[in-house]
Amino acid sequence: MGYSWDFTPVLRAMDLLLLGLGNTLMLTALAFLLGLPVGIALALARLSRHRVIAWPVGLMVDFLRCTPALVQLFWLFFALPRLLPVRLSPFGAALMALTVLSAAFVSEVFRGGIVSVERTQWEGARAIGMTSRQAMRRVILPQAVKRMIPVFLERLVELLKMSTIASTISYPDLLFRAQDIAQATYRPLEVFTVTALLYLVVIAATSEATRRVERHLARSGEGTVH
Amino acid sequence: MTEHHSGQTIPRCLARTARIVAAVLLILALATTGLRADSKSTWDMIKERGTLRIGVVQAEPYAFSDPITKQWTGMAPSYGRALAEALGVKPEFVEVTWGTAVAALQANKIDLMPNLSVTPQRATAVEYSNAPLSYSALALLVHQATTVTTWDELDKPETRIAVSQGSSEDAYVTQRLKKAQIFRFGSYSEDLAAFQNGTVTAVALYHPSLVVLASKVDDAKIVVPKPVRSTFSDTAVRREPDKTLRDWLTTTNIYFYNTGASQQWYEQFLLARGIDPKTSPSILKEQQ
Repeated sequence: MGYSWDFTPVLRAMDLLLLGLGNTLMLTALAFLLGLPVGIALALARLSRHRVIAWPVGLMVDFLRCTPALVQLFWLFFALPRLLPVRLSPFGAALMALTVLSAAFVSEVFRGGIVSVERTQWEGARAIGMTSRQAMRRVILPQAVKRMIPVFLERLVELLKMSTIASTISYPDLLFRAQDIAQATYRPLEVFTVTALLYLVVIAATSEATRRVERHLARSGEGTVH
Repeated sequence: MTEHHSGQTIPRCLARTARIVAAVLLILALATTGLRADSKSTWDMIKERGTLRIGVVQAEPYAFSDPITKQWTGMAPSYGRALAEALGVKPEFVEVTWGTAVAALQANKIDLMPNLSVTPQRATAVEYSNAPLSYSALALLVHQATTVTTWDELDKPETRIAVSQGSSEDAYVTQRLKKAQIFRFGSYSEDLAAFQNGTVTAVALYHPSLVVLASKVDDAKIVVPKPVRSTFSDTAVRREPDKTLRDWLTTTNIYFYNTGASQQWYEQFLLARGIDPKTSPSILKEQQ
C-alpha cells in the first residue's frame, strides 16, 4: 500500500503560497538594503581611531554574530516590549532582527574590504594632498566596495534562507503559509514539496544573478576572481 | 562549450543537465515508493512492539512535560498510562502539536492522539472513537479592564487575538472573526507572551487551558463569549481497514468518562499545579 500523492489541494491554495513568497521576498530585500548602510556605519565606527567608539561597537558586533538569529528575534518580539514602551509587529521585529544580522555581517566584510586595499593607495592619495576623509571617500571606498559586491550578493541568498525564522512569530511568509495550508489540507508532503521548489527557484535565480555579476566584475579587473 | 571556471573543466551544459535529471529521478523514486504503510494493523503492531505510542502536546491541562525530570503529566498521560496498563504494554509519549497531530498519525509516528477536538475536516483524515472524553467552551483571556461579551463585538480590525497554529480554535476564530487580526504561534507559552507584552489583547483557548494560563498572569480574566462555542475532544487514530483499536477505544472512553476517571485526571493535574479545581469548569457535559 503506497502513498497516493495528490497535489490538487496545494495547487488550489497556490495564490496564498505566492502571497507568502511575496512577503518573504519583501522582508529579505528590505533587510538587505537596510543592512548595507547600517553595516557600513558599524564598520566605520569600528575602524575609528577613537577607542571609545571602536571598542563598544566591536563588542556589540561580536555579540550579534555569536547569538543565533532566532534567539535575537524572540528577544526583540517577546521581551523588548516588556522593557520599553514599544510594540513591534511581526514584520517590524523580523525586519529588525534580519537587518541587524545582515548589518553585523556587512560590517565585518566591509572592514575587511577596506583593510584589503593596499597601503600604497592611501599613500598616493595623501601625496596628492587629500585628507584622510577625502582619500576614504574618493579612492579607497570605491575600490573596496567593488570587491565586496559578490560577497554581499551571496549574503542575500543566506538572508533569503534565514528569513524563514519570521514564520515563528506569526509573520505570513512562505513557510508560515505552507504550515497553515499543510495543517488545513492534511497534505504536508505535497505542500512542503511545492514550497521547497518555490524556494529553490528563487534561490537558484539569485545565485545565477550573483555569478553573472561576479563574472562581469572579474572582466573589469575589480572582482575577487582573478 | 567548455568554460574554465574555478578549476572546473566539465562541459557546463552537461553538468547542469545531469543535475536536473538526477533531481527528477529522485522525485520519481520518492513518488513511487512513497510512504509504504505497514500492512499490519496498528493493534497488532502495538502488541508486537510492546509499547503504545501516545501523542501529547505541551498544553496544560492536556499534557505537561517537566523540563527537569522530563516526566509527562496531565489528562493525556494519565489516560495513556491507563490504556497501556489495560493492554499489557508500556506507554511511550511522543510530542506533537495540535496542528501536526493528524500528520503524525498518518505518518505512523503515533498510535493514538487523545484530546483532539472533533471537527468534520479532521474526520476526513483520521478516525475518532466517537466517545468524547471532555467537553469545553471556547473562551478568551483578556485584561481586567476589557468589557467584551459576544463574538460579534470582537469582529473588528482593532481586535488582536492569539491562537495556536493549526488548532481547532485557530480554525474557528479564523472563520468567525474575519475582520480581526489573528496571530498564530507555535505554543501556548508564546500566545501568553504575546498577550503579556501587548502584541495581542486576547488569547483564544478552551476554558480549562485558560484557567491554568490565567493563574500565571496578573491583570487577566476569562470571558466566555456568547453565543457559547462548546466543543468536545476525542481520541483520534489512523484510518485503516482493521477497526479493532478504534472500537476498543470507544469502549475505554465510555468507561473512563462515565466512571468519572477523565474528570479526576483533570482535577488531579490542576491540584498538582496549585489550582483549586472548584475554580475551573468541569469537563463533563452533565456538570456544565
